[in-house]
Amino acid sequence: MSDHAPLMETLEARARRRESRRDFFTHVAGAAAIGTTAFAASAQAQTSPSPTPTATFTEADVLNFALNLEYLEANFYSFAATGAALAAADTSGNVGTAGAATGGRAVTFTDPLVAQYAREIAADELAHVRFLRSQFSDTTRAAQPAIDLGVSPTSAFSVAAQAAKLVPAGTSFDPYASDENFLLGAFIFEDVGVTAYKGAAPLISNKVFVEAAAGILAVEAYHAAIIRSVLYRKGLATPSLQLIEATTAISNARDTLDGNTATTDAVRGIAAEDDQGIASTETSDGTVSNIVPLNENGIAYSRSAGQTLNIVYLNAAAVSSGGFFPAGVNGNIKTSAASA
Amino acid sequence: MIKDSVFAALELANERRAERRRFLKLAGAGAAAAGGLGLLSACGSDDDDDSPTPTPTPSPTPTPTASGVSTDVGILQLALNLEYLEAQFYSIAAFGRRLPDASLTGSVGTRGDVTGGRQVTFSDPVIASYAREIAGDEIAHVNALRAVLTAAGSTLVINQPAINIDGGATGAFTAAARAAGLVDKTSGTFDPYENDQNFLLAAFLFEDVGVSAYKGASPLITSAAYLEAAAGILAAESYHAGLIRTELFARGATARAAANAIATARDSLDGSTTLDAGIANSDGTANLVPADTNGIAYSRSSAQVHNIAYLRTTAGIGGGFFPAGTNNSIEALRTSAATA
Repeated sequence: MSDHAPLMETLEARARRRESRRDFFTHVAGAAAIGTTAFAASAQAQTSPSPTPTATFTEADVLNFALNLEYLEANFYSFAATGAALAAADTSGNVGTAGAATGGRAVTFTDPLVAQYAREIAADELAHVRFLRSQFSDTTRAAQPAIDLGVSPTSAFSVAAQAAKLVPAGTSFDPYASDENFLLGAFIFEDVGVTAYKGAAPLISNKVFVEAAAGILAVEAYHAAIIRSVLYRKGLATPSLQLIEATTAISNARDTLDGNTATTDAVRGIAAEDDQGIASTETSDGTVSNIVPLNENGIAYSRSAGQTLNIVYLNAAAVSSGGFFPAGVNGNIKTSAASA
Repeated sequence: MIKDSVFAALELANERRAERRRFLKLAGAGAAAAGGLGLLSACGSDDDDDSPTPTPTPSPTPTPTASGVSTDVGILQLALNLEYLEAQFYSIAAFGRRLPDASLTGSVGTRGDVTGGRQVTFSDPVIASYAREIAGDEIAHVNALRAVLTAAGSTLVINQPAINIDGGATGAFTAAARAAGLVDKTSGTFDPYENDQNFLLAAFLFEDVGVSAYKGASPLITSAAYLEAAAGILAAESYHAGLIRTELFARGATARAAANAIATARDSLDGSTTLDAGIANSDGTANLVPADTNGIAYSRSSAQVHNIAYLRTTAGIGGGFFPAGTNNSIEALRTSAATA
């Protein structure tokens, strides 16, 4: 997979690029990727007095994009909790190329609480898939694309873990091998879902869908808090597992993949540094945990669709496939942002 | 459900929307966006010096409500009331100090004081670190909402209303705990500052309500920028709620039963529709995410949120955690519903 090298490269360039952030802003302003440009334009249109959006992408496109992300999450949790991928009836659609979710398997959980959480989250994500699917007819619904949930050294999970240095280069990361690995696998997705729904919120003008999307956003944030807080407890209980450090590394990898944003807005939650691990900080009041990734206003971050695709494609460049979606996502929103 | 339209509305959501339209009509509200991008550039405090300077969009002339402010402003004020309550509770529990005066005074409504509250002596240092984190987040929400309201108009910030977070026999927490049956219904007291578990249960009482309040308000917000900010606070509250629910569930049977009883009490205060869920299912398994069959979190109207905050099932202003009512330029956004 030729997409791996850019990921490793960008990770190593992280510190350097942060220093040249100001320089970056001047460049990106003139040459933003398709996805972010369109979204920025429509967001501006909706803050103007006229409520008529002038988006390049329709609301159906945004919902189909969300459906792709839910296919990914639902299949991962379904494999982990039950050993099986989603049923065919939950994956059909006429938009795009249908593919299989492959490579996952049931986790043999040690901690019965983690097993319960996996089953609950699996049910929620399946409900999200079914809810989003129910809003489309067969002809307008995105089919489930090919999804890589495998554990080979070149699988998406392994590449992500290698980039975060959880495992050595060229070796396998298996999110189904243990409770801890499962939690780290889940961690890779959950905060991304929150930022993706939040970034899409101002692009949806249909009020019923604003409310529904807000409700899915909330559920993804509940999930993320479960995963983050359980990892924090387990990390403190067994420091040798390095779980807390692992979340910081994964967060850094995501933050590097999604690049810097052309604008920074502390009220809307748009920033270059838009991701955080769970490592605590020491203050004069004592230790402060970091279960909740927020900016200085206590507001969660937004990611554009292009930035979200950077992460699930594991590629900081503008591409239309890779990582967890080897053949790309289905629908009109499919190109990642030029974030390298 | 009508499947031939992509944006076929859910019947229930439509019903709720219709309810809200009636509500807003009563409030005399006309939708209006307060100045969009101009406002954002004014309060985006993290702007990189070299990022492109946004061209301010001319502020649209807001359509005034009977009270002279837009619905968006009323919703931000509603949110600020809830954040005052949460921030004071967590700040006192975690740090033993109240918010500074400068973060509490405004132009709208009567300025009230905080009754009760004291620093918790936590047994578990991890829960202490969670309390500090959440306190910091809620204080940030107070200050962010005050900044956004200030930017929307120099006289739109509400005063902190009178707040009762007392843990004694006449405190709001005791009233809530008696209603939930956590303590003897006539003579019992519930002190949230007494120990770790009581603190978690008190936090539980607030957190899911905040989520449902922000979600219920989401389709009423006209400004895309406010919507994105509100979605970011919604996410933060959902993370908090997920954290608190996870911790309570892990503590075992007593904590689970108590949390379930609180959820039931909240659900009966806000009327007959199911808008809440405990942390354990009837078979004892985890239910860490309160969501409907679509995997979507619940919405509460402003009035229903006030039923819980006021601990009353009748229509009116004041009681419970806000003895003199919340403050708002729009009178209807201070009022609870007749839900009994």
